[in-house]
Amino acid sequence: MAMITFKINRYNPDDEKRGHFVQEYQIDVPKGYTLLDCLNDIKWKLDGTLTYRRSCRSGICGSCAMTINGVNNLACETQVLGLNCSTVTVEPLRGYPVVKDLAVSLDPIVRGLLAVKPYLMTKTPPPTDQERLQSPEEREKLDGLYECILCGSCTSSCPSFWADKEYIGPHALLKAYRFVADSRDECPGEHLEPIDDKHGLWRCHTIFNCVEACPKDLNPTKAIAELKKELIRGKLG
Amino acid sequence: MTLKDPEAIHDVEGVGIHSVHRHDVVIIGAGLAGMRAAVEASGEFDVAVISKVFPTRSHSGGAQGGIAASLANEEEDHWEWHMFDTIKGSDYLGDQDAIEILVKEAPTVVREFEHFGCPFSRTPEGRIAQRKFGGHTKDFGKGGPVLRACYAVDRTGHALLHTLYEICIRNEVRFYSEFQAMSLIVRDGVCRGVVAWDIVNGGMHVFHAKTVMFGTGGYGKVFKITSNAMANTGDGLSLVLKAGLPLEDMEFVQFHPTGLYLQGILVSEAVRGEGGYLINGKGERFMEKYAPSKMELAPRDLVSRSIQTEINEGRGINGEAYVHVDIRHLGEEKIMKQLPQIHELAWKFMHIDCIKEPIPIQPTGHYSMGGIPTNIDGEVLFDGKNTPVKGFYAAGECACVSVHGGNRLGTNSLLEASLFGRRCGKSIIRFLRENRDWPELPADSAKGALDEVEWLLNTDGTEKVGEIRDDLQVLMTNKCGIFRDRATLEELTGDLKKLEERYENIKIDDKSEKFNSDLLEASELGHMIEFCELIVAGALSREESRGAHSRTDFPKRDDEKWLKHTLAWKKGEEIRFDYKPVTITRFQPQERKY
Amino acid sequence: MKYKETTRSGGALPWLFQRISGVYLAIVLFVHVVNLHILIDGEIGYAAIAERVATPLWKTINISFLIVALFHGLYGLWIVLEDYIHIGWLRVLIYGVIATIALVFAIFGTLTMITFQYGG
Repeated sequence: MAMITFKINRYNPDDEKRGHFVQEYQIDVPKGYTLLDCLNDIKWKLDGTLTYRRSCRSGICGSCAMTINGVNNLACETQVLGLNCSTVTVEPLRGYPVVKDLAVSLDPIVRGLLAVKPYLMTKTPPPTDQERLQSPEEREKLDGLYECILCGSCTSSCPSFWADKEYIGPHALLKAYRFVADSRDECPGEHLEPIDDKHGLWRCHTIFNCVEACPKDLNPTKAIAELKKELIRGKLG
Repeated sequence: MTLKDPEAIHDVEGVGIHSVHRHDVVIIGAGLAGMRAAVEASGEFDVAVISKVFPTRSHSGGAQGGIAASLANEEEDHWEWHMFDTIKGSDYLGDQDAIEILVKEAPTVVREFEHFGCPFSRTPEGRIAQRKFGGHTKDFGKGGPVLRACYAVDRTGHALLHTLYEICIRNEVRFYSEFQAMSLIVRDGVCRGVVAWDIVNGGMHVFHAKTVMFGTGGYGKVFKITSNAMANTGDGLSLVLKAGLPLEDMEFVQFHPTGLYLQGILVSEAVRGEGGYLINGKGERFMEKYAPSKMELAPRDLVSRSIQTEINEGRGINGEAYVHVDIRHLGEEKIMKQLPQIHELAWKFMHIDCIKEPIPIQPTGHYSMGGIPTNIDGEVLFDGKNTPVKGFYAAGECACVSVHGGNRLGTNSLLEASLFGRRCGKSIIRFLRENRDWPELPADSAKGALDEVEWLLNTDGTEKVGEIRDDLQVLMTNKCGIFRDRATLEELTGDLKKLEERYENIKIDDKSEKFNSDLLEASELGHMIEFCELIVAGALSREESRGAHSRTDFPKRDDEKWLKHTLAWKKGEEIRFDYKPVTITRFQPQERKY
Repeated sequence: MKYKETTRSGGALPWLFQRISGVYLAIVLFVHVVNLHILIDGEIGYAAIAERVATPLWKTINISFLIVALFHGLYGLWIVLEDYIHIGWLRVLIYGVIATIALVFAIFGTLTMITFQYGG
């Protein structure tokens, strides 16, 4: 148990005059409390106006990504006493328009995602009453790709995205590679073509922030490197 | 988007013209059931999906272990075996016609998911991999556990959910993401649409529809210890009740045996399917006493009762309210390959390395077997004679077909949600081909919802939503949990009345319209109190022990009196019951032993 | 559902050129350092350097290094400007100034190289 001060970046769209401001809350934090538990405590006991997204509280839904002490992470997976500091700063994910307090607009995430045609594309019809075959080795190539929970931490941490709001974002590129790498996908070009763009794949300058930001320990930069290789291979025939 | 009907949009009092939308199909809930139906119907009709969370945040994604289908990819299996297991698991309360459909169509549904692109784990031959799960056996229960649960590592729900979202994108399904359903418009036995609140921007919207489908999920949040997401507040059930329709078998609530101690977070049954042991404070594999032949792979109701009994009788670890699930003997390689998410969860939430230490677990509120009564085509029924409401469908956890009866087997929920979601889609298509006209939209459609929001924003009481909800969760867990009896249930009935009175006297802090989660949490609490009364009343009236409903004062199953489904209506303060028979085709009820 | 129909400009070949030119520059620099500091006999003085630079092989190497380095650097700079300067005309203006100066130096450098003579 320790008294922790939370400095929370707040913004109320109905009060434009006040704009963005920092509000402090102090609560007793027992061992095992996650940041989400603390935010819930604040909301339910101190200030019902505090706004944030949350749902599964077990790190699978991707709702509660935020910037915690300057680092993007899921609130529900952050042990507050594990941060080893008496003051915790909490901000909405950077780079996205803020909707209210810690909730940001999901539009950039969806826009990037839709661009890469994020679905399996095939030409040959699937076998009747059978699954398509895929060897365990082929399936293994999807590990580290299909686990993405679309929390938006990676794109929010990306300086290329900060600089270029039209940049498609590492989350979308990871998704593109999830299909390009799938042995069952027969149209990798369909996923590659839309990202061969200065606001697409080539906007990535291999900064690696996305790798550090990902709460699921995925590696978008590696996926992007593979996509670049794929595209170049395609161009050179 | 062009309207498929030439007549002008109907006016709705209190709602701007731009907030009235029209779609052939409006689906509430973007989980497995809702999105599977959307995929099916979007080939032919204009489909909109409304969800209070972004689609991939739906709690279907929390499922870990697998989806059942007798593919026989790993070893011999037959749908008849699956059918027997499901019926026996349901403690003979499942409707056998529906269960037969479930098990027969399961392979098709799972293979379709593969065709959609779901990244299932694979056998060396390249087929969908399968693992063991509790209650799934060979040869009508006479053999050992069977490899039947098709899985994608230990993230099966996540893989299925994202795959469906992707196919919805392909099919250009219209999503209204972060809209919270506030009321259902049913008049004269015809469903005409729904009213929903735009969470991000504020404001009430009316969705005028020829067909409405509910895939609104469960209500685990009425319990203190639960595996469910914070969004799982059972809104759909309360909306149905308020529209004057009944709910079925609400007394049957599944407690999952293995939730992380104090957190309730799900530790997949795959942990036991892969060979994990349950160990009590004396270091014994205590399942020997309760299910000598199936041990840890007995059905969930039995395992949960066994764990709770160990805890109640002082044999928890150090006498505390938990036991251990131990997977150390599986070895690091198998754990990291087959159960990586479990390893991650135990580490992040308990700081326990499950390769070296056992995981502390306790039973956790998990799943609702009961719900909105439907027939095998997903049509919602409004009486004991199986009369459907025109144009209203439901599937998934919010619905009760009933394939799970008194207790659901693990991996049957993903199956049921997607399979009956798909069937809903198909029957919606049939309905729309025959019914081209728009049902009339009453001008006062939004009145109830608008009044509710206005009341919540302006009520100036003294009670806090968080405190009432906390009390509700503690009461439901303590008094309507794994073990129940008359005295405590009667007490709880009184407690709930008091909570209802306190709810009338609430006050919320946030008075704004945009992204007002304070307002929506208050509305959700109202829903929860509403249907909790039905759960308790159902539990009180069902004087027997069947499946997950365990009465210490009536410890035996009573087929003579209670081999029937409960239907319950709520009108004002009054709860009315009716009953309907269980459909029995192939397997006669027998004693249930594992 | 293409991402951005209007501003598509690819980027694959410039990206590949940056990698190849980078590798080329690194190799030439390495050869240069080895030549200058390890292989050379005796004192490093004007005579020793000038003699080498005057050979046709080294003239070619140095001119190619100059041009490749300029392209590599200028393209990199263009990417940086694209990242941080969002006003189109300003970006072109700044880049234009830098590129002009670079071009002037490139011409001077090349001319110097071509015309450079030593001894005989």
